[in-house]
Amino acid sequence: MATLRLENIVKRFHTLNEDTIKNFSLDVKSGELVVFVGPSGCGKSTLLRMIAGLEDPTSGKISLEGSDITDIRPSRRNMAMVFQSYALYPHMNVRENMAFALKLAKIAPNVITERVEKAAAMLNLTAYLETKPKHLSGGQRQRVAIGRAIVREPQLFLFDEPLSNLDAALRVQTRIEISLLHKRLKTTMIYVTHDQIEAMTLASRIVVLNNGTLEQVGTPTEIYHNPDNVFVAGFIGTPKMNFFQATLSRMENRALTLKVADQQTIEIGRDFTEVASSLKVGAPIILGVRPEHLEVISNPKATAVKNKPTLTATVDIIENLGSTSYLYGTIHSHPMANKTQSETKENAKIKEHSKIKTTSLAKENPKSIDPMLAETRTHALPGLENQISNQNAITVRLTGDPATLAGRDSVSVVLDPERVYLFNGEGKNIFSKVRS
Amino acid sequence: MMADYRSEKRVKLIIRAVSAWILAVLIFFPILWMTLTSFKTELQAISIPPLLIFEPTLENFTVIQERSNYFSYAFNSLFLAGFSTIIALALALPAAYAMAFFPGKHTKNLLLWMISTKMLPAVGVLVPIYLIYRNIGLLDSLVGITIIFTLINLPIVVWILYFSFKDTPKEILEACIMDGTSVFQQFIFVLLPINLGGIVSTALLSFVLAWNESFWSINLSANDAGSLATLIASYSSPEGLFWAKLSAASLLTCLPIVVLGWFCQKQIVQGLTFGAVK
Ligand SMILES: Nc1ncnc2c1ncn2[C@@H]1O[C@H](COP(=O)(O)OP(=O)(O)OP(=O)(O)O)[C@@H](O)[C@H]1O
Ligand SMILES: [Mg+2]
Repeated sequence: MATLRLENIVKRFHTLNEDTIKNFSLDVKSGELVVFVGPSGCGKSTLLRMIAGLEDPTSGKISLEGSDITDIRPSRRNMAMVFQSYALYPHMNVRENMAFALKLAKIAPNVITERVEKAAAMLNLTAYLETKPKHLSGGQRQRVAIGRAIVREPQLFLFDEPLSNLDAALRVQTRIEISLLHKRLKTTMIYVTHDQIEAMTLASRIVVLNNGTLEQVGTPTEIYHNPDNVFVAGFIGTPKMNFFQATLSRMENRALTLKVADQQTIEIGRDFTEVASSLKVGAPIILGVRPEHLEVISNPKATAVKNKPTLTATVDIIENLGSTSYLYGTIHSHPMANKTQSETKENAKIKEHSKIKTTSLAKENPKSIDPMLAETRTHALPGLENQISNQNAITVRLTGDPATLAGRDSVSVVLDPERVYLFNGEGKNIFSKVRS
Repeated sequence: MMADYRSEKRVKLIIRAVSAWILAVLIFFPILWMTLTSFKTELQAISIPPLLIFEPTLENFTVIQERSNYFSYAFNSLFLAGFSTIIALALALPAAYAMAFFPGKHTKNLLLWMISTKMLPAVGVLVPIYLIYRNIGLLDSLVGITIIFTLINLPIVVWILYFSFKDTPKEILEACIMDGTSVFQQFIFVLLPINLGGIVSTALLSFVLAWNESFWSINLSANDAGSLATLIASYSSPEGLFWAKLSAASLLTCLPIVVLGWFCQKQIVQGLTFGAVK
């Protein structure tokens, strides 16, 4: 068990003219399972390899239990790494693979046998000890790789996307095994993945990385409920959070009025006193709502929902996954909604009939954005285009039977004012500003 | 329709097989003829029309051994091919390791440059090398010829080993590093066993190329360090041509390497295809 500290780590590969890791600092506490998550190419592996010592940081300091290990060779760091491709030695059987590091360290043969057999028993590999890796299945190979790490009894385990070469079912199973292993060994672990579900399920704390910078660190619950910015909000959670382009049109201490997609006006009742100073009328706001926090209502006039913020959306397609189902739609944005509505209605029917999905997700209609709004967008949201590419698309998780919505062209969707996220023009969560 | 297609396929197959056989015989014919000639007398060898049926004689072989001491040339060939291969491997293994696992900006250029030396006509550097060798006393010495053979094969040896190592996932090497191996231990315990096939085939190829080398050995050596290639050449020069003896010398030169090649076919093919055939 160990505390690991990374201070101002910068990494630049000589072939690239940009820093791959930009001034990264992190404290990992003893016994934690910290998950690095982020899109492909954001530098997760690079960071992990620097911790392992396989790559040298350009600047910065890495320390383990208070002692500087930045310039210590990998084998002296007392860490074990599990690679994505398993990296087993193909010419050695399972026993030899696991024993290799111990033999090199000149550990007594009887101790080696004992440790290898204990690890093999823990990982259900006892029957395969004399087998060569090529005769094992993917899941078994991955367990051998984990076993090879366990027998070394390291202070720190490093995992680099250990599950990404496994099929879906095996991935879930192995994920659970790793979780159990962590419970049992209580060793500090750092786990790299680009899969946010793995991050949410395994982590004591999640580190969200983007383009070499740290976006947010926190427990899965914190990250899910209080994302610092649009990137984190969009990256964690499936289906992805809905983002809508909005303008702040009226502000009081207990309510904000937003004009969403330049068309629909909604009022969000909530205590805004703390953040009022950082907001001003006319400012661009990104409204974020998770699909699971939206509700389709049949009667918008009903008193129960009368005062809740409501958006109207056309139905593009409904995906029924059995236990849940999702509605993919578009919120009206065109001033002359009536005209387009009939068109979309036609579309919706055809789509539903032929069960074509995804079209609505990828649909983008730049012509329908009026020039004024387009202007504000480009000014207000530099670099955020990727996260909120299709501002008018909406995804709703349906709670009831999706069949009741059959044939509906348009639905009213209610937002829970306590569960909407408001991001400012730079993509920062306006509430997280207060916290920090 | 079906039947037509089937018979068409059969005809194509027959045409292909026949052409392959014709080609094979064409390629093999000189070797066959050489073998036959080596068992003829000099008179039979030049008779026109050529003799196909004759009484074989071993006279040529005994003459060669008596006059030029075949075994001394054979020993030289073995020595040169063996040692040049060993030295080339000793130099190429670390080079290929460094280039495959720790490539720099110019590794690709370096590889190209190395192989490009093989595109230079050797005769272009014959005079300078001859002069250097004469001045430092390496002409017609086993050491000198071994050095030359090593150098001419080195680019190919590095090249093939590079591709063989490149097939080894870098993560395996990193796992080794994490497990606490030294570079030497990485070689002994992991890289050599994993790449044994590639290394053996490279060694064989280097050996065969050195054995067959004739340009440099004919030009830089004579009796003391001459390889079997110089032995053959000696039967074609000063006192005119002796077809039968020339053939016998050639046969004696080819035979060992053909036998070696026969037994190591698979390894050599694997080396030449950079490990694609497994
Ligand atoms: N040895 C290297 N030389 C040059 N550039 C490199 C090297 N290793 C990584 N990079 C670059 O650094 C960036 C981050 O790479 P890294 O492998 O850390 O990403 P990652 O977050 O692990 O992505 P993935 O999820 O695809 O594994 C990439 O742009 C990559 O091209
Ligand atoms: Mg990676």
